[in-house]
Amino acid sequence: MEKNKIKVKDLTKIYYFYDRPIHRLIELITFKKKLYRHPFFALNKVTFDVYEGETLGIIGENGAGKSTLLKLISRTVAPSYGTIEMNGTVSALLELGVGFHPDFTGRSNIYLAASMLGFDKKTIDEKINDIISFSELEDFIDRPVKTYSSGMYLRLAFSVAVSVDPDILVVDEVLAVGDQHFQKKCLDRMIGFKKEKKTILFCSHSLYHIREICDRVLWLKQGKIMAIGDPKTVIREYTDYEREKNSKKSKQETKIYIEKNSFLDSVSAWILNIEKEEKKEIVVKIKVKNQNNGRRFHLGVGIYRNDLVECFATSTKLDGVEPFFVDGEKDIFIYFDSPLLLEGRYKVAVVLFDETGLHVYDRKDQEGEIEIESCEFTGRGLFFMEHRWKV
Amino acid sequence: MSSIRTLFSHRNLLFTLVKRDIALRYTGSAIGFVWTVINPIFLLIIYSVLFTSIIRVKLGEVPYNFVEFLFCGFWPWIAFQEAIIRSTNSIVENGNLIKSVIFPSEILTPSLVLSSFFQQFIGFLLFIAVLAFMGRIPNLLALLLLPIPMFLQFILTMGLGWILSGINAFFRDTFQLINAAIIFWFFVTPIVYPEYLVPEHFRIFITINPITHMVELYRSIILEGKLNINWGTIYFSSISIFFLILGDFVFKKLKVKFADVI
Repeated sequence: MEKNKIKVKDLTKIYYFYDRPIHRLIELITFKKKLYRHPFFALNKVTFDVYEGETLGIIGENGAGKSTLLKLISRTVAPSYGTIEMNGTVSALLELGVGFHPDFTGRSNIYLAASMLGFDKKTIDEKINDIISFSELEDFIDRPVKTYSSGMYLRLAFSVAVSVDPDILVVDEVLAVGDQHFQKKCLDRMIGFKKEKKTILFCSHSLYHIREICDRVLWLKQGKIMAIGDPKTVIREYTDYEREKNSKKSKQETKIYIEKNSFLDSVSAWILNIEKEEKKEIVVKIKVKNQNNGRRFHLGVGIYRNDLVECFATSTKLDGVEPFFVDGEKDIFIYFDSPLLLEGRYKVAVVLFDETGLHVYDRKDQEGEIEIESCEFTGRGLFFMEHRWKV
Repeated sequence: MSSIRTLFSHRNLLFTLVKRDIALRYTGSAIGFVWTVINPIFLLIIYSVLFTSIIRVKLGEVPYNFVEFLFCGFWPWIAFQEAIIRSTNSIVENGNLIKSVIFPSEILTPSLVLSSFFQQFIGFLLFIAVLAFMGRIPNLLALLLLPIPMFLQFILTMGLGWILSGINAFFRDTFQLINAAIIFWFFVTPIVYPEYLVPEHFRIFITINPITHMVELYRSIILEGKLNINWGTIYFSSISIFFLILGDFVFKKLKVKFADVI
């Protein structure tokens, strides 16, 4: 039976701004509240529950209240109204490397950061080797962190931060740390926490990560909950909203978009057929709409594995195709006659460029799905490579 | 006394912060922690010359000379002054810690107070070594009583530090004000002059100043080898305990709003 790990009820956070600091003093002395203050509702009556072992993703635009919510839950900020009930210990990864001192070595910064997380010396001594090896900074650990590159700095900070063992973990957009290799490790670590049945609150702008990791998603807009529930549904609503807003905002006059598929929701590029017998042709049909204004376009298509590895990408520009006109509507096809992809799930991204191939009018990332269930090729990895053995 | 409980539960963090702060004083400098005592010693030399050769201060009937008198009061004052000034700014300075880490903000002030004791400790050690070298070996048993004034100094400084750092988070003017007030405070403490030289109608400032009784306590232990328990000692102890309790209370009230204002 799932039990509530976090119960948030009517949570409201109001920040007050004063035009001048003296106004705060006058209010304090005269006991006349509301004389000068300007209230700002960072969160407005937010109510939701998080269940044990659940990963809840939090999405929303900048300033929607995501970080405020996470700070309230990790209790670094006190609510104005409303309550948060929690069972268990909380650890928060809100900002990385806070409290690190550039003059100290990586090792001594680990000690400091770990004691901020509440570890005693003995526990840190036990964990320090794991932390160092996770950060992959063995060669640099006894040098001052001011000599580190910014990536190394963040790796060290992240490694300390994830060495915790809380019941509830609050993570604010810190997965985008370091290079691809380290990002993967961070992601694996998150999935590890998930497997250990930790309750996780996870805020990210990477919808892809949210979709892959989270059990439920909460969408915040201007301090209020717009939707909460199944990741696919909520993310779709959110991306629809985002696109609508962007198209309204930037190009009201140029109605250029890659049309939505009518039978696969929010998919802009889709697969017409994948023949699984002899010929494994993949055809992507893209519909482009434009008002009759004489503009010319280039189109790019990329295929990504579901872990975001770019398998192949090309464009009409790269292939030397002349930029094309679109008057009204146009269907464009790209034929991958014999794709050498190995089995797995792949996604298709399409990008609509201007005639120089630089300015992006519209893009749809990783939407159309290709599933290659079984293929004649043996071997592992991304692609089949023509080969022979000599034994 | 929730802030004090936090100190105990986070003592590892407290000691790490103290160690870091002490280490910061000498990382990157060639002669290391010697710098922590060079500035005060420099001031001490100036005061010694000023008040023994130019303005001749008479101490009255006491078994020690002016330089000894000065040194004994100066080290605790320097520690107190430094701890107060640095504590006042501590919440503002560590805003990022308070906002983005689950961090017990009440620990900042005591960590600075303890770190300031390091300087006082080194100063006392030097002073006692010099005394011994001059053939004035202090009463070693009496030195064992030093933790008593040090403890009172600790709780007084911490209580005051909590109050000032909390207020400073809301009104940055506090820090400027304290910088000015501390100069006044130095001169109403009998450090460079003995109390009896102060005219009757000014003496009230000296008497109500708890730091007066604090330096007297240090002097009686180190220079006279005994613990003078008089009404001043009792006053100092009560004030210290009062500020500890008040500081704890005020800080607890203010700290929930820190993240909103810094």
